[in-house]
Amino acid sequence: MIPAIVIGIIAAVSLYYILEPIILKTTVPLTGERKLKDLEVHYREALRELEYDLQSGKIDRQEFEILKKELESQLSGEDV
Amino acid sequence: MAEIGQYSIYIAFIVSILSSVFFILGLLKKNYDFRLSALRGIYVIFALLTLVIISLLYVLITSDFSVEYVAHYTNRELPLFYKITALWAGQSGSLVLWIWLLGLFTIIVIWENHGDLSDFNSYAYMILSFTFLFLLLILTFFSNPLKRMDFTPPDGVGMNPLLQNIWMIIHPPTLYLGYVGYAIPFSYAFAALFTGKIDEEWIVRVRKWSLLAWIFLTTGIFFGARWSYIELGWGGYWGWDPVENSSLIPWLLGTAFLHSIIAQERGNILKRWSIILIFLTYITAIFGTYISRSGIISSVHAFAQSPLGNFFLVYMFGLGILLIYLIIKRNSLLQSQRKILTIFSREGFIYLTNWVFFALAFVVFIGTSIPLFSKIFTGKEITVKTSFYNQSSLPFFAIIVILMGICIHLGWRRARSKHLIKGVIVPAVMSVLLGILYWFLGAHQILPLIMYILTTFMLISTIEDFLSDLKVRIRRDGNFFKAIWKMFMLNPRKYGGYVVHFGIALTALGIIGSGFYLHKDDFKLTKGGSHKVKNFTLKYTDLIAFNIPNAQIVQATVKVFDKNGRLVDILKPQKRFYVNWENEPSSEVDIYPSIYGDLYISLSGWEKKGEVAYFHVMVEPLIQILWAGTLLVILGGILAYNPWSRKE
Repeated sequence: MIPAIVIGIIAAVSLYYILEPIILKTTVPLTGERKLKDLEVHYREALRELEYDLQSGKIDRQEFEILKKELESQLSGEDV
Repeated sequence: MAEIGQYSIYIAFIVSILSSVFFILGLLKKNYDFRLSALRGIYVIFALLTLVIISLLYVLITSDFSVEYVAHYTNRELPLFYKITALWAGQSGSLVLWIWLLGLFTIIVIWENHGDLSDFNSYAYMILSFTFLFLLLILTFFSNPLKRMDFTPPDGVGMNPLLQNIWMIIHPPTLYLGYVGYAIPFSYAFAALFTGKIDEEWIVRVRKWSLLAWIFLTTGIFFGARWSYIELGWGGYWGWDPVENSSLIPWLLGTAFLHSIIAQERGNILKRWSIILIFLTYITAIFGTYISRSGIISSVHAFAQSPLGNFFLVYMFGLGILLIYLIIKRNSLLQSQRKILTIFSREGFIYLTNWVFFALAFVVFIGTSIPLFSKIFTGKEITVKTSFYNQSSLPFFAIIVILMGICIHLGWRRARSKHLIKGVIVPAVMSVLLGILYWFLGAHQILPLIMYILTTFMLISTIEDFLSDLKVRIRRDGNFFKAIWKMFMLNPRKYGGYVVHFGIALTALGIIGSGFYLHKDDFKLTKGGSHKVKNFTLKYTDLIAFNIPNAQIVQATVKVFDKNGRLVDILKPQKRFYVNWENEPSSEVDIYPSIYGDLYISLSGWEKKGEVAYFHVMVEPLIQILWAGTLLVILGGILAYNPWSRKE
């Protein structure tokens, strides 16, 4: 008997919690796509790596500038 | 308590249907309320699954044998410790843990996104919701761990003796964390395809999770290898068993994915590769769960038999169809923004690496699946021998090692030939010289010698490039330790990756040493007698029997002397006879570890009340280097993940 009551309560609370937004129609506007904070960190990390490559001679200045530009374009979502 | 857990599964299943439907409606109608309801559904599913776990643990700990699962995997004498781990000893318990972990990860993702219900996130949650639905469907109708029987047996069957091991606590959960972890980047891949946002933001979101899943999977494989190593009859640390292979396949594909997204980040290239790789990684992770928990293929590591295989196959097939449809639909968005200018560039080598990893994963998949397909089509299970895997994978590993050694010296877009030659020449010459040294040290077989040279080349190459960057950093910071610190804090992925590569090289050296130069010996000794194995002399001194709560133990005492006659260790291999499993005694090996190799001994049998005993002994060279290398791989993964670096 006790398990049946507990199960009943769990089911009722779960259903109410899930259906509440639809029943009460909160109509909160949809949030836009958030730009991730991580994107900036990611950009700086990638740029640092390119700087190492330049200083250790893996790439030359010209390649560095092209790659840097590619990175910036990607961050802003533009096509290269 | 069992009823509460059992009905929680039913409620969670209904909620997963509601959640999936509400996500679809919320996305189609662009309605926030539906999406919020669906999101709350995920919270409820997680809460209910937590209740299921608590219920299951309760019946396991209290030995409620009216529950079939408890009666099957535990008995009264089983220590509490193993009663808890019985949660993942069987198929349905494992499945509960799997879904609960998925719930946990999903909650973390939602929390990270601050409950944001944009299209992108909602699509990802929808995919996760459908995953819950699929798994809860299985749990509800075919694999309920809290199902009661019509009668209550006085005692349970007990846990398989092979599972009564310390590694049972951490190996399965860690492996599951890896498998489940890939569900997150996988769901984001689908979200990217649904919304057409296959951009930088997608990469940043999946990168962290795929790396985390990779760390768990690597650690799980490492724990599994350690466990297999000490469990006689499991073929050593790696036996190319279907269950072992099914963890290696997603690891290979997940590793390729981690490299592929780096190329995508830098040049907006290999997008299709990234999507396909993360999809295959997840699907093969599901395949791994399916193999190990369905018992569909004979394996020394499969401890459950069930007809669930078909459901998993349908699920994998359905996802495959959906992916193909979305890839065709988003074909234009998946085109690379620019071409790979030359194969001699970082991205060119990453592209090659993708192919090699993919091909290797495919070969292992074919070998693993042959028993399954042969059973379906011919009715007979054809098994693939270990030699098939050894012979077919070796060339791939050799190519990977070479690529790793060279790639590190290449710049993006195109390599500067002068720098490349300068970078490669030193490691190449040094590795050949060290190869000559290996020859004089006794490595006279050609194949392992070549592998040694290639691996050494990669090892030195990694160190050389790291030192080159360190020099640049020291010039800037002026202090060695500060420079090291800054390198790992400011570029964690790059230098974490270097540690991983370094660890891979050491692991490879260990595999070559222990694989090609393994020494085995079987012999019998009378009490007081000695036997020489390689540089060791073993002296059998005693055999005793004693009891622990759930087993009777027979233990031999063997003294180990080095080549100078010095006593270095006393080993005590055992045979254990567990309650209800007396006909399947398990061997507890004992090991004397040293930097040169492990002395590994097991008690095979005895006669004349222990006056004579039989032993199986192995000497495994370089095995400690293998373990150290694997630990470095895991450490490198953690360094690359480095959550603290973000604050810099």
